[in-house]
Amino acid sequence: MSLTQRTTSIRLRFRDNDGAESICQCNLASSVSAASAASFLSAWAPLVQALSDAAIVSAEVVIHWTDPARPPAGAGSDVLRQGTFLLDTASSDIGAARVPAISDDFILATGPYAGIGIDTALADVVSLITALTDGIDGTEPCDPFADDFVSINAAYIEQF
Amino acid sequence: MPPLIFPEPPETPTCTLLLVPNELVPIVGALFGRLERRAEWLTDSDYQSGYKAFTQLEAQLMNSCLTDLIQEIRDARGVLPDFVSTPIEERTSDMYSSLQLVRQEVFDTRGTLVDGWFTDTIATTADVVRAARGSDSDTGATIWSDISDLLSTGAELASIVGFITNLLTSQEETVVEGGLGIAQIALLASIAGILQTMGLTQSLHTEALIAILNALRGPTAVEDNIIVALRGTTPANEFRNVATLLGEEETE
Repeated sequence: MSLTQRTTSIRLRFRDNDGAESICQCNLASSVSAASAASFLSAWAPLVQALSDAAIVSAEVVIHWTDPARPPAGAGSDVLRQGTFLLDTASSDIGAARVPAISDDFILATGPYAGIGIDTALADVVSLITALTDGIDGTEPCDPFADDFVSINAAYIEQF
Repeated sequence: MPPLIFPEPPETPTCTLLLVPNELVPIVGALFGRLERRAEWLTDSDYQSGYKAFTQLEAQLMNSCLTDLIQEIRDARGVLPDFVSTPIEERTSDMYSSLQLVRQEVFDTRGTLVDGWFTDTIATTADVVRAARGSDSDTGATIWSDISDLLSTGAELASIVGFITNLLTSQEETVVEGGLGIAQIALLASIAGILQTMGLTQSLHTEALIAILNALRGPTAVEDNIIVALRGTTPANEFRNVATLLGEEETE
């Protein structure tokens, strides 16, 4: 895996009076910092809104990285078969994180959840959960509402 | 499908128990997982409430609640002795006790005896208390009267032992067999009887000893006793001394 940064996307999400949504997107060079991209978004959004009858309901700054080599995927891998990690948050709610095409190597082989549950005692799984709950180098993940993950609640396969 | 509005909870929240077969957990979980997306909800507030509600439901899918409930019930029933070593995951329902068995076990602990006071009678707690007392309301007075007689008349050891023997081996309904309290009291009575006999004997011995001493000593000290009678009226001197005479005999 070798990721290379490419252009940064600025996305404005519009919603019409039927509830349908669409995105207005423009790109910035990869050399533009995240702070500059956010500043651009703030100035750009009213310019686009002025031309539209729909309403802007959200905006995104997406910094892209990509692997140009496109390495091959494992045999039988299925991105819709996802390892779902449900984590207790600091506000006593539950947040979710998912790993597409979770490997069978990490699925429980015995017990009532054989073939469904993820073995949270395996070293690689423990490493992932630790990164989710304790963060990496002082940066901690959270749920969509800025509540920190504090511990694993459940982990199993979800088939989308 | 138009964006969803998160419903207001009722004043009295209630739940629906939904049993999801384990093999469907991945699919049902994914259905819930779709509702974690912002686009599924009308407002940010709806999204936040919906996200939190459905991640909770996703977590509940792995709570194994039904299995836990079954195990709790089995723990309450208790595993049968023959299956203690069987791994829990391999046990079946018939390897656990039942309320009927527990009831029968309690019933069996009451027990019956082939003879005596409990013959063909299922003992109750009251029966056990009566046995500990050694009497019941009808027969107690007679037994206490017998003991009282033994104590007041200074009964001989043989009669007390006989009383105890009769008491412990009686098979009559009117006498409580094996009464611990009665046995203890009877033993005390026997000890009292023995002590009384010992006192009488000691008294007789004391009288005899006094008579012997009086005979040896005589009615008046020094001048009139058996020693003086044996010695005669002549006092001992250097030539008439029993110890000296005995010593001379030895030297010869």
